[in-house]
Amino acid sequence: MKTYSSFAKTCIGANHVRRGIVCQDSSIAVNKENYSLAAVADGHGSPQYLRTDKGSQLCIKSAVECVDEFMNELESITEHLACENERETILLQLWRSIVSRWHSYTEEDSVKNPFSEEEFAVIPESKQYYKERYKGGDYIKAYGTTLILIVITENFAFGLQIGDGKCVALDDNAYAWEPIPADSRCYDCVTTSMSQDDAILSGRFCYFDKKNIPPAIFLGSDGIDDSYGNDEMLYAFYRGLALTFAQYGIDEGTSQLEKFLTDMTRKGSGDDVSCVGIINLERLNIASEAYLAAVEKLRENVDTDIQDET
Amino acid sequence: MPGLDDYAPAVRKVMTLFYVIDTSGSMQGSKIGQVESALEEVMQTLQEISDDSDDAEIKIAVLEFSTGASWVTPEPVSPDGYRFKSFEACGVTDLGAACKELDKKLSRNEFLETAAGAYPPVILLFSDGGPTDNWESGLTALQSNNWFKRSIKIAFAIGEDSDKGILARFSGSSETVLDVKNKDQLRLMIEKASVITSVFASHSSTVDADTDPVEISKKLAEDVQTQTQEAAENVNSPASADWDEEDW
Repeated sequence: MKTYSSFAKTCIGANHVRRGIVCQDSSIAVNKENYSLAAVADGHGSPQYLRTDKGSQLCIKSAVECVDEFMNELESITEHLACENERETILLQLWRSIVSRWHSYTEEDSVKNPFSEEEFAVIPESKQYYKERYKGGDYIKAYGTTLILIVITENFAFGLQIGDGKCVALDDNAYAWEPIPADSRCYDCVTTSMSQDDAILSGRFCYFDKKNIPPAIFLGSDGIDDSYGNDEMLYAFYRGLALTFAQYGIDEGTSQLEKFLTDMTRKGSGDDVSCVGIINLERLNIASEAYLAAVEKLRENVDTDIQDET
Repeated sequence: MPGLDDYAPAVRKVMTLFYVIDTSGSMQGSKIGQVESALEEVMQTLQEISDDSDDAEIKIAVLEFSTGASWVTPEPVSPDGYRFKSFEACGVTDLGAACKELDKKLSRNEFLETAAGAYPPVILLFSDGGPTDNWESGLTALQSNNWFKRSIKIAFAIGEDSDKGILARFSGSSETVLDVKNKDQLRLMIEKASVITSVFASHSSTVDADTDPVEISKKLAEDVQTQTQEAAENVNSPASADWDEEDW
């Protein structure tokens, strides 16, 4: 799709490197003729969740496949989604297919590669009941992960999410907001998950019609959110990123993002950090003055704070 | 041409160093005088550590307690923003009130509200006497505060009348209570403790949620003791023989 471009970057957490833990985040950017997709999945990572790195990879794979089938096989999709009564049913149908596909893939993996004693050895003493669960065939928690995805076409856009992490949209005036409703069950280190029994009922959605598609939508794993102390600073990061893309284009912008994420995990959350998004470069270019003004305003506020303290 | 590094806000967390200072009547004279001058002297060094750290900005919060407890710094300030304070040592030793006040401010909605987030703080407690109020209820409440649990804590028992048992309850172990026997020790220990704990706690690579903060505090307290002794020997070797003598 010419109008929009997607990008994806994942950087392993500084704390994970230090502890020899593999990256639990997976992300992807897909640019097809009729749509762009960006998605991020964050495997839970605690020692008792033995294969959440694999869980997040399989989740991304499931999402990409199901979205592609949805976008190419459903006739008159624009009209169906435009109808408010049908929208929820259709998006829920897509969501159900992603959850179901992920269950199939994770089950297949657990059958092909049975849990080994070596894997069980890392489960903490206080969580040994997980071992019994896994041995008894209740494998699903071992693959637990979150998922956020966004799809943009020329005529509509939608987002789906389970678990933590944030979807942040930016308009042509650099105003930021979170279009996917929050879930009060996600707080501190607690999150909803693809692996929970009611995952199908726990999906959250957002939808934009043609005239309300924003010029930039970013998705971040919780490692990004946790690197900033509040939403305003998080939004400022995304505004800075939008401005960077507007000025440098998608390739150089993504390259700068990669370096920034490496520093972010080291100085910030220490967690794996993934940032993906879909942007309309032409509109961001036109809006770049508004973005620059927002960046300058934040800088002035920070400078004022420093003067007040000294 | 500027890029993402210039446009996006920096990710640097804040590490707040709390000084909790007994300003009861028994601290009058050289004890409180040494605290005042040591705090003034160490601020420049702390600012340099903060400026040099990629990981964390250091901020200072000072709480005094005697008859009641009150903040010298209404909010955490950068070290070079700390204004010299002449403490008035009088009244009793309301450690419980200090604990309650600390509990109130160890919160993301209070002193630990920062744009980029906060590292677990460092808390240095100085006292020369036993508490005179209901310290146990204040301390019990404080001990359930998650920031307090994760903090690095060292207590300084100034002189022979201090209650080391209670100070150990505060800091988590008898090994995190350091004896201060004279005014030279007090000044040097404040400086060394401020620097050693700040350097440690303001680096992300050393702040690990899996490590017991009391164990870290023990190691740091040992370093403070050792480095204070070495500094004293270097500065004034003829006097080092009197190092452990009471002199206020």
